Amino acid sequence: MDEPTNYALIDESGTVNNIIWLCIANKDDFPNAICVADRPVAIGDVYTDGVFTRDGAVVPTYEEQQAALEAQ
Amino acid sequence: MRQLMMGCVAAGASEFGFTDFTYTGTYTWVQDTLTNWRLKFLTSGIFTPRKSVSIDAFLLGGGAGGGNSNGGNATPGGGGAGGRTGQLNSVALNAGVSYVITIGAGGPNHAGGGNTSFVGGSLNGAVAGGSAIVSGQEYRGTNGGSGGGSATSGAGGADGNDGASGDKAAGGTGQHTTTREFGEAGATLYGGGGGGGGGQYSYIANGGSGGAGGGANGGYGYNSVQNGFSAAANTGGGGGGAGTRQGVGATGGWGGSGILIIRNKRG
Repeated sequence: MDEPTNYALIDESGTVNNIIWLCIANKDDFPNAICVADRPVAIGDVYTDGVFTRDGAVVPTYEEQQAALEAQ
Repeated sequence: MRQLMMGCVAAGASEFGFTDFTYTGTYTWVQDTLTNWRLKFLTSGIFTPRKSVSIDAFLLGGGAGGGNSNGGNATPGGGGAGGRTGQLNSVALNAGVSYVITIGAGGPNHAGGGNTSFVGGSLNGAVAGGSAIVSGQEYRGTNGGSGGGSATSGAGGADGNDGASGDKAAGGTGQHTTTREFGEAGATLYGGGGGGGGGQYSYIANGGSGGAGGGANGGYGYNSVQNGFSAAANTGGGGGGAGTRQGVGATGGWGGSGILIIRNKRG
């Protein structure tokens, strides 16, 4: 079986209501699951048109966050 | 399929055996004795027993991520809390019913862990992951199963206790009940808090130690700034806070995913 990764469960309003540990092999068990891989999406974020946002801003990837912090 | 046997099973010795169910995710079957067994669900999926069975269940949410450090004011990140734990006793699972199991993911930096749940028929059990770091207070350890250690260099809590305080804030609050499997003395410990990150001077450079039960260490500071360390999968441990020095920030570590364990009803 493939390595598990993080998936966001999206409710009817587009809000992330859980982040679960899931393998792609049985991803179809959760039709409302969207793979977030290493993007630091959290419960309460919003998913619209394929993009995760938090407080109106796109959730940056882990690498983008790290680059910004290293530049401080 | 996707099972790891740990022990031998005598045919007919147990009322419920490792061929008496299907699970679409990954799991581990543990045969403790001829009649006692445990089933550890490691990833999310659908569980369908072929036989009705009475069980106890132990649930562990995902650990929270550690805090980022702020190089602008040389403040390390706090540790993420461990996932919360819960237990269901004497639960009847019915043959042919599909039970949906979610295993809470470990949270990324700043964020809480996911929720672990066990739902089907009349059953509806869930526990939350460790809490998210409050925006603007990345130096604080967060609250959860065991509290995260605060910056600078606070140790993560263990077994439901609070995280240690650092010079920036009090440690995160634990659940104040044991986080051991099924709450039993000597059983596996889960949900340790992450350690706070190390600071900009040599005497405070080391990150705080992660709490026993999967908590990850805080990152080093001073002259070799590290990200917070990440907790291992299925421990529910909190991620470590990031280290820092003036002008250099780093990211907190990931929390560890949770777990659901069921066993034949005992006692």
